[in-house]
Amino acid sequence: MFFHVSLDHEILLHPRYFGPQLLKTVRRMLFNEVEGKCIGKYGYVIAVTSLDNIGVGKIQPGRGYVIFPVKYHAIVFRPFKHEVVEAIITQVTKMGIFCKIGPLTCFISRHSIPRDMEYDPSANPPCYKKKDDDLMIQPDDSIRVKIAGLQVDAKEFFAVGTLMDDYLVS
Amino acid sequence: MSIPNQDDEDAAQLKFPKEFDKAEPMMISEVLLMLEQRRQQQTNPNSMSNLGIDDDDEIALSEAFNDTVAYCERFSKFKTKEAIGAVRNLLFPKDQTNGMTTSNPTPVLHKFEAALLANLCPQQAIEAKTLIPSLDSKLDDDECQKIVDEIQTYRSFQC
Repeated sequence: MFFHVSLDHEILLHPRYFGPQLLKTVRRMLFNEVEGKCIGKYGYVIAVTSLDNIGVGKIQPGRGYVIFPVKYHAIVFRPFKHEVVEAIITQVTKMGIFCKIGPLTCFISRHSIPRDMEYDPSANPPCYKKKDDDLMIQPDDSIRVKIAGLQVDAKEFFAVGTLMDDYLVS
Repeated sequence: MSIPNQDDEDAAQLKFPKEFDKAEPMMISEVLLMLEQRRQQQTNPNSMSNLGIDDDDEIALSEAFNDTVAYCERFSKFKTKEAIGAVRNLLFPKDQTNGMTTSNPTPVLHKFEAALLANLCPQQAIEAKTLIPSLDSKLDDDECQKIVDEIQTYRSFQC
């Protein structure tokens, strides 16, 4: 789910930037430092929509660096457990299916794909399909996935999805 | 920057971390509008001035940004601003303005449920309730069907 949230960020600035362009540098650094990044609690910051306030900079004792507290609004993408989302298939393998939900990669294990769908390695591209052939899952298709679990490592979310529920898949 | 605790979040029960109390859920269509605006500013840098960025600054759009635009383009259900506005009026009662109250049967929806309904566009009440289990205790099937039908109407009457 996408959210519009108010966020804080601290910009650490080297003294060489102190000058008439100071605030501009702070703004540019904010964009470079937060856009496209994943921050633990809030998920992926997709785009900064407004800069609300650049606070008073504080000089760090003994170092000369200055920290500026910045308040801004941004569009974030944050997946939640048991949320149903639509996804784009990127890869189909014997082990399962990989798909993308915006910036997030989601894996659907073979065991979370309905039993009556079988892997067909001979098809090009490989796909999962029902015996009666009317339903196929292949790369670049859109599907509905329920997020079964989420894992966060250093800079990324990783989701595990399931198709084992009514009204999922297509 | 701590790792989210998996136990205190569950979309099916509307349990979210406290950071999201004040967050405003957005429909995919709205996200697309805003991202496209941003992308245009990028190609026409003079208009970046509202963000305090001048034309000699170059801010590359991130990979996440491009992925998200592709995702939103594919799954955006409402194409026009009018349709988006109408759906928002229907589902987010806070934005309710004068004269619309009679057509709004959804005062109880959580913002998260409302955005999910608009993103997934289910066609039947039972489908909506399966995808969004928390709806089950709030709406009976008829009420739910009414909302779902109304969303479908907005979806089909846009050009």
